[in-house]
Amino acid sequence: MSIPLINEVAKLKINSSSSSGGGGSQFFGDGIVSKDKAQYRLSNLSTSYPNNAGASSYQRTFNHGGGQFSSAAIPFYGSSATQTQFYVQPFTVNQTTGLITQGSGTTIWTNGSGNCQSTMNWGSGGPHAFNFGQHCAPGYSGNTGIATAYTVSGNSASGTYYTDGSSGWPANGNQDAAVCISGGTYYFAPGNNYNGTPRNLAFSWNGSSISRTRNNDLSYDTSTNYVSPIVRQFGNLAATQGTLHLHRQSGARQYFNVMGPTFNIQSTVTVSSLGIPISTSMPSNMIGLELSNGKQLFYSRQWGIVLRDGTSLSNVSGTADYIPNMEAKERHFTPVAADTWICMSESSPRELVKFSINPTTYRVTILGSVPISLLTKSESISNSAANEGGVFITGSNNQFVVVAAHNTNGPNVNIMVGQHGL
Amino acid sequence: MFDESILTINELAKIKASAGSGGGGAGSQFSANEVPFIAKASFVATSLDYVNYSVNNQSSESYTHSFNHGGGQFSFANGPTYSSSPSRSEFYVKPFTVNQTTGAITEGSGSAIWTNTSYNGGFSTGTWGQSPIRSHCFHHGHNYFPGYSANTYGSTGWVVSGNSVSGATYTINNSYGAVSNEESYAGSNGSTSYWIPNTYNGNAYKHAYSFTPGSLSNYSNTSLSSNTSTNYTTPIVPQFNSTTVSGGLHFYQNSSGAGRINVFDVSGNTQNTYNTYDFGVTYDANTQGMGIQLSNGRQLFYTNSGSIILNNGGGLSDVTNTADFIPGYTTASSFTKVAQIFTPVGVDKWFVYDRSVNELVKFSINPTTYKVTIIGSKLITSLTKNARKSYDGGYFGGAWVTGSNNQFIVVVAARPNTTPIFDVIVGQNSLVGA
Repeated sequence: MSIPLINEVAKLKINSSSSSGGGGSQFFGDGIVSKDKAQYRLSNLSTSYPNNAGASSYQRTFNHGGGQFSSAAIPFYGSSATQTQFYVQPFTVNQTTGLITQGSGTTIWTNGSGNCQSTMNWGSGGPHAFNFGQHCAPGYSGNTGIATAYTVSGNSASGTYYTDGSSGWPANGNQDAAVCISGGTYYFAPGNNYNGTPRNLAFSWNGSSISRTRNNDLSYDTSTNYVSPIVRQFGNLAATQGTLHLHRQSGARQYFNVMGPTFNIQSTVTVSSLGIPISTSMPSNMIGLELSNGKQLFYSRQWGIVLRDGTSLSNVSGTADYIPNMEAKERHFTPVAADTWICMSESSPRELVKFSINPTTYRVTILGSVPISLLTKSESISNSAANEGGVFITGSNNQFVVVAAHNTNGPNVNIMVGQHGL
Repeated sequence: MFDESILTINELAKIKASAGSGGGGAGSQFSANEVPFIAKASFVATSLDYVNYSVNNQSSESYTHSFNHGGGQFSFANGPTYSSSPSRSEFYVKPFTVNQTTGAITEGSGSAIWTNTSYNGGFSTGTWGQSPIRSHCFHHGHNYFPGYSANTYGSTGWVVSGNSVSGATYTINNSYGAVSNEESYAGSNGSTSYWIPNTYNGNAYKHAYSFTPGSLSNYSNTSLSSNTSTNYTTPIVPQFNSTTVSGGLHFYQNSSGAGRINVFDVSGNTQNTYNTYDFGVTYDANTQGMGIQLSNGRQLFYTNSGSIILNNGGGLSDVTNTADFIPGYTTASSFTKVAQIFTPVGVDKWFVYDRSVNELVKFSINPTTYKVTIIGSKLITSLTKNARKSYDGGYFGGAWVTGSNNQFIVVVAARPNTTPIFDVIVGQNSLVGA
């Protein structure tokens, strides 16, 4: 009996030895155990006609905390009939068993005079979720700038929208926007421009009323501008310190606007003054993480690593570590302890990675990782969830992973729940 | 006996647990502490005034190149230019060293090895090379050379040693365009290096230079009587502790469109010519490959056709059915035209960066059977903490081994926003020694 076991020990040692190339197959092992699975249609349009949802990047799933989730889409008829709607499907994940319970699907708004939606930003904080883009807003037959906010509670959703009826007010790319909480009110800042002018644009939402609180033109030489999504610290419902806004002025000079929690511009810093050369090609967005000491770190494969301390910025690329995901997707980070998060890795093979950041040295410690395809059984689905849907952590001991993969051929979402050991 | 069984069962459980989800286990590229961190730095690679003006590293990070010169000396080369005004373009090289005992990074003296003071434009298509004399570097590209108001083809040679740049010179040959980015053949004999970039002049040519510090001489412009411009010379991975190679291969098509391979010696003299179809290659215009110099003077070439070709004294044979492929091999040009990702560490032993899995793999090749032994590998993402940054390091920069006992791993990554800046991370390598 002991001989076979000794052989097995030797074999496992070889397989797990660092000198033999680490991990092996991403499909091997029992690092994630499937708990439940569901698919939801994100529309209550008639099934007698085609239901479109645009690209899968036009749909999102949000983790509202405590096992409450919601998936949202803006479906519209593909032909024959006319209607666009903002649809939300809440669901819960039992914090002990991991079982999924479908909530009450709701239309936040409906427009009966047009079939359209376009580029949009999404964001969430606490029980709330936000969208900004050009869609067939209620009362308009063409793309019109509209901000939508909704709140999910008790597996039901309610919300409203804001529009001034303007066209030519697009979101800047399909990306995550920044969300902050200040004085109990949530603020939402999308990347945007109005008729080619980048704006300091923000909305507030208190659970019942949405307001456009900022709408100021910025000097510019291109419409491209970015608001960095910001990941909250453990114990907070949303980020509390604001974020960075990047835009470009004449001569292709690029600037960071340092924003406060209501997205007020507190200071402006020239990117090149941080020792970062600038080019005419505007890079993609950064992802910000809020630390326990109130500082923020912003990561970008293009920019390197920028530290925000109050209203000051510094370039810490030469000393700080990178983090496992530097894409501007706030939804992939779940805070699980002080300065500790679980996130989805940035590129395939997709893995859940638990890591911590030292809030003074900015050094990163990898605490564990597990391939997500152990749950999805498909790296393609894992990539889809990472690129366009969401991957979240929930459970009484953060023991469940929730994977949401939206589909390109209609308004629907596949939800998978697994138990992991991180 | 009974107690031993219990102990073994406990050990089994422990190993299974440590290899499981909580420990960065099976399939994970993040395995904690696999490559412990030692040092990190970011360097700007331009003399242009990037604080007050927009500076482009023209078009793409694939127009940059990173070099491991051996002995802890490294460098990064690129062609920054102002994007609008003022007007200035340059070829800039930034050296740095990694201390062979401590792993500490020391910034070197960056230099603009040539400058166009009148025009903006930077680099366009260009191919890179590094001699077995590892301090000798080359670039043949479509650049805004000094005094030229448009992209002009020419070759540049330079030397990196002592953490500074010297011996730089360039030669304009606008009739000879570079076929591709990535790398071409560079050889050496004594203190002279030979640079044979893949070039065309209407159709394929052999276009060759000799180089000693400060002198770059164009000594051959020979038509290959080809019916197409596409042709490739092979970059060669040198043997450990050797500053010469046996020669290389030149892939092209003849006037009828049939694939040909010229075998040439160290300075580019054609020794023999073969048909590519003798090596399993039926479509020829894009045939390319990289070579490895073995300790017995033979060379193995791994091609984008899936063939492995042996060069033994100027005679070629197809060893595909007996030789092993090497780690990192793909048929993509990011492998078959690149020798930069290898570090020679012992006789017939190298490290190579496998970009498909972001691992630095130590392997050996038997120089007579051509069989490969995998000695070990290291997960680069456990050092960089970010897999895409690892990939950038492998594809646009480099991942190498250095140190007095090969105890350090060095990752260099250009940033993908076309600005002249790059990052260096040094970690501990446990696969030490030769």
